[in-house]
Amino acid sequence: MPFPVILIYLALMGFIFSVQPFSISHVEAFCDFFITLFCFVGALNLYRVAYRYEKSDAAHATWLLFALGLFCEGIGYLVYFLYEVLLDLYLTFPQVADLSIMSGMICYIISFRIFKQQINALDAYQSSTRAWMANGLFILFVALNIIFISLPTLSNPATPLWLRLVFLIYPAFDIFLAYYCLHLALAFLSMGRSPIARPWLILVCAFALLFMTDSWFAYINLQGLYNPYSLILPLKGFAYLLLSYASHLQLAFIQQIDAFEVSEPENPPI
Amino acid sequence: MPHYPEHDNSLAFANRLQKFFAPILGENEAKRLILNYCSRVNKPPQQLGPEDLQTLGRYLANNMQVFVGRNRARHVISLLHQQAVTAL
Repeated sequence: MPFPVILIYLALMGFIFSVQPFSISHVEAFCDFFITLFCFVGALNLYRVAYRYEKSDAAHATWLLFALGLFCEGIGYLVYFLYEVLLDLYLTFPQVADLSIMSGMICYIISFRIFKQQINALDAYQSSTRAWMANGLFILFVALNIIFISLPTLSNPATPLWLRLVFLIYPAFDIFLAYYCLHLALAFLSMGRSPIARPWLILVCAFALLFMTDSWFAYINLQGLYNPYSLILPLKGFAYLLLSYASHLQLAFIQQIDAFEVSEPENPPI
Repeated sequence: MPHYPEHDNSLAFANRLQKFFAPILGENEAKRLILNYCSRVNKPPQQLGPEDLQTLGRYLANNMQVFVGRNRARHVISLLHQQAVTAL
């Protein structure tokens, strides 16, 4: 997904959300359409990246699981979108579609785990300062999550206990994602403007945006303040677009390495 | 980030290595990994020479393969060796 597409999307969402031409019920379907589209396009792009690696490479499994996760999420959002458009029915969590979205999140967590294990095995990317910073930010995020989302959800007497526990599934997934995103983002940021790290950094930032919008949604939904014209849905769409952009950069980078031989004469002899 | 002076003649080999890897790793990351290698083998960058190519290549390939895959990392390192042979 080239960068101008992201700018066009942001301009379109900026216009829609400032002019507000749709009714509240239709803006949700409008945003779900884009989210579904970006999930499927992103899944295809991420799969194209995975396809460029050998099957024995850990990076192959990593990108493939990201692609599979995004595809599962796309199916979930497609179900929501079809209900909204065809049946004019606005579903609330939990639904069957959420099983698909949750499967996607499990794929992301496994994928991040595989990648982080690979990074951990290399001493060049180890730094106790960065690990402490990432752990500090993670503890802050967990504390905020518990105070503003988990505890209020658990202490709501109007909801049966089993449903309260189900409501905690997304915040729990967000905590896992936050852990990996913070650790990897700080590792990649330390690599500066390295072309090898840029696609991964954008990918991690996209996931960070996803877990932040999820947490924001969970909080304002708990307060009964959710409004489809809040910026949560367009930001989610933006995060899915960033995933596509990361895969676009990674593909370009892989092509650059494959063509490295061509530029060999320009390099000085060792 | 640790650094070494750019215009020191004794660093010509390290500088050439850095230039070779710059399109893939970026200037700073290439320098950081070379210096990491130096501290790993307990050798100042001024003493890097052709005899280090084998182990340095293996070290850099290990660090690159997480991002670009095993074969691609090996391909880059084989180019490095080819250039070294050409230069000799």
